[in-house]
Amino acid sequence: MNIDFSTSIPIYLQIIEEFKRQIVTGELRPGDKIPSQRDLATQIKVNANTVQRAYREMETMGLVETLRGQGTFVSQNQGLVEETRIEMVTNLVDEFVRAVQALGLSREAALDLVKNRFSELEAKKEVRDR
Amino acid sequence: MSKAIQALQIRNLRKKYSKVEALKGVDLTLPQGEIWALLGPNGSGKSTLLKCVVGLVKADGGEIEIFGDSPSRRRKGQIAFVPEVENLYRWMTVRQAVDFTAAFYADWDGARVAGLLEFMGLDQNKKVSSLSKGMRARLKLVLALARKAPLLLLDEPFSGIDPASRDRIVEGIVRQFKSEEQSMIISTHAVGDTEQLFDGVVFLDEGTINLQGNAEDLRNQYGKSINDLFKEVFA
Amino acid sequence: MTRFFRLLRKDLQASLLPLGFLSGIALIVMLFTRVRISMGSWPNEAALAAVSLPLVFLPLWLLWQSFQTLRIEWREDTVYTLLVLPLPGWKVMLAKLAAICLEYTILLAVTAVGALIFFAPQVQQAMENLPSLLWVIRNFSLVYLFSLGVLASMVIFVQLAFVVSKMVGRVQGLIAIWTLFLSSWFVEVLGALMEPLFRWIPVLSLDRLFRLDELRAGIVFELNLASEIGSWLGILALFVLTGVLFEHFVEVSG
Repeated sequence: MNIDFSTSIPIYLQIIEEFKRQIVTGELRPGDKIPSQRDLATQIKVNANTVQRAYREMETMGLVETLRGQGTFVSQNQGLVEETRIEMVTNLVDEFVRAVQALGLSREAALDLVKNRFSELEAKKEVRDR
Repeated sequence: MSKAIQALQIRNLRKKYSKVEALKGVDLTLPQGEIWALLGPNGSGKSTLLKCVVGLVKADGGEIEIFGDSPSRRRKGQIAFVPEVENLYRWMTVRQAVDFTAAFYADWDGARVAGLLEFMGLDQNKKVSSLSKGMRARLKLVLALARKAPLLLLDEPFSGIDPASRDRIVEGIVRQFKSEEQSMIISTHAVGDTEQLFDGVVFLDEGTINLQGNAEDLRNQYGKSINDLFKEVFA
Repeated sequence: MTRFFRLLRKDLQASLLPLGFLSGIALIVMLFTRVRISMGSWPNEAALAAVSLPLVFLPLWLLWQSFQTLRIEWREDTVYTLLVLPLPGWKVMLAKLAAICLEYTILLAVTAVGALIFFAPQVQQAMENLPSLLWVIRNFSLVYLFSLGVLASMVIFVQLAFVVSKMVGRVQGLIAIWTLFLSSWFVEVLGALMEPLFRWIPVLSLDRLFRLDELRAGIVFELNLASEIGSWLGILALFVLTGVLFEHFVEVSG
């Protein structure tokens, strides 16, 4: 695991974000074992208390489960991946909506723009992939 | 009602060198199990503060409590102090320096030493005087981390050494620090890329604390890294 | 106890170089003299001078060394290590004192062995004028013990003077000299003041202690122990004081 920290955001939140990203992209699957707190702390050179806080929060959120003496695992919860995906995208969309509102574009114009960009970017990707 | 015992509790600490007031009534609390940064430019009183705790400098006033007790010989034995100066005997070999330190501390953990020396890339047969500045800094840290000392005080451990040694020292601290039984203060005049080490930070300027708190809370509150906050406070 | 011996070992190792150097010089001087004597260019008496020379310089060097061993700890910043050790101050000072005494003993032994090797005929000749081998061994041991006592007490004065000088920021040299002066005055006065308390102790007849009668020289000299005991107690008190000052009052500069 490698995190390029932006140190202006609490580090434990960035650790949680990174785990969420890996779960959504499939790098981590439900039931996978994640590094122990100490290993992760050593790996990313972060204070062990900070990692502990991130793990505690992730447990509360139901993202991971710690089994006594065995380690910490990504939750087996069926809806987890989809839920996390939706949550992460929702956050991005929220940011987008706020930015659009601040720049004074109407909802319809913004949605049209989104559709257009989707088509253009997908077309470009097809060309590139060929 | 019982109050949690702090690793270190300092109240209204004052110290004056012949004319200069180094500490002007400093209050500081180090909770058990945490690593705190003592930040400030050169001459801000960081070193004096740490020296007062370990007894190398006698405060003019104020209180120091180490795990709830006033400083004593017994408490001295529970502190691992790494000074900024080169405090090792230059004529000793690395092995001799290790053995010498081991003899005086009941909390010495012999099992850790070999691994630590290897991790730091230190050759046991080399003389201290033949080591580079970075290597000597690594050795000083090994001598502190090889103890299960409840309180560790590191004075400018990253100052004036090569980036590789700095990296090793940061990693060594993360690896060895046991938050269940240890607490630590690291003084530094440059936060740089070490800020993810700290639970809390204290900003010391000309003998006065002008900001202190939990590192994550400060990031949240100001929307800035500790490094940027540091630059702002001391601009 | 092992902690004390660790310190002692460290102090001995630290002065290994000058110790070896001085032993070498003493041996070379004796060897040189021996060669000159056998060449006939120097008289037999030169042997006595060659052996006495180190014995004269030795105490001076050791006093310098007792100052130097502390000064180096400060100069090289190793005092940062020493002052944070969870040890009573007197132990640190006693280790340094013991190291000096051991160095003295080692250098004496080197000189004695050198004398026996290089000046065997002269030693034998001298022996013929002395009562017996036992007498020689006995008196040499007594002289050794007395001189060791004197040396140790002088080292204690030096240690105190140095530690006191480190408690002030400026004019350290002046403070050190004043401390030397005051502490020796204190010891002197204490001896005189306590003399009445110890008058019951008989006068020590040194001529009898050293069996000087066997020389049939009719020498009489005595030592009034009553006036010495107070001074000894004073020196002991100074030593304890040095330890307390070192542990609780000395600061590193800056």
